[in-house]
Amino acid sequence: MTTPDTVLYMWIGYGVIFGVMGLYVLRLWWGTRRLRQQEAELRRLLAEEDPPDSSLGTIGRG
Amino acid sequence: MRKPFGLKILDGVTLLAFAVAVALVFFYAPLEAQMGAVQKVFYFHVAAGWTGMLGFVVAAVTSALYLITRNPRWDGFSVSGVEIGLVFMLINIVSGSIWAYPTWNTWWTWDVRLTTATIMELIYLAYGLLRQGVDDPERRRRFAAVYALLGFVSVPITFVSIRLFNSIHPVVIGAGGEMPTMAFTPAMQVAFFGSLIAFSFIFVDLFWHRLLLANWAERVDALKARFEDVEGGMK
Repeated sequence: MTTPDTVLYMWIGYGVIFGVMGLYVLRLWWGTRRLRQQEAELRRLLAEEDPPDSSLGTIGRG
Repeated sequence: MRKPFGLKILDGVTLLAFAVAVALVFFYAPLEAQMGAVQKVFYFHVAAGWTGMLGFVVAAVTSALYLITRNPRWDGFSVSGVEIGLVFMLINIVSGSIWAYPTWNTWWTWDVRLTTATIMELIYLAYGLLRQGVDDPERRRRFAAVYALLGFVSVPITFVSIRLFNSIHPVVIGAGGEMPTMAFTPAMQVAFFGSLIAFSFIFVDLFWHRLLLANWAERVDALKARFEDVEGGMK
């Protein structure tokens, strides 16, 4: 095994390590973004359909 | 929902620790004489295995706490621990295989460590399938907690397997007796323990983020249920 070979496998190894970690961070970021949009949309729909004196607008806050 | 200030600080500290670990591995640790550059994969390979097992330990402890208290909060902890454990054990197994090819001249062998680690990963993959298969939330949490506790048996078995059975996998932590061991120079030890510390920070940081995600999903589910009630009441 020559040195250039081991360098190649080192980069493949670190490519996998950084790649999978990056994908998982992206999954958390994307999940947060999607939930933020859903929450905003649901609050907007509730505000439209809910009577003004209802307590529904306070759900989940705090 | 805003990101807690403590988590922002932890994000910064984790990024810094990760950068230091990368610098130690690539610029401080010397090249290993026999394996060459590919030996550097071992620093993060072991650290990923440590992080994965940490996730499974947290899942087992919080599953036990759920069964004792029946507080759904602990179920969220358990799911987060398993998810992070699965991701990092996947990194561990795949990076180990990449290290093995130039070192052992094969991508894979059914060595005791490789086999037990793969079984452990599959056991925790099935945890997710089990959760998807049970509709009632209380039953799902209970079944998952019992399964996580039973599945945890695979974690210590994987850890000690290379010390109990003949294996070509090197013993990295502690004396391996007659088993092959990693001969670390002091500079290699700094890079090795630096990687372990950095990955411990990464675990806590990702775990906190994953818990926030779980809490947020619960809030959205509550809002959805309320919205369906309102819609149903208007029809």
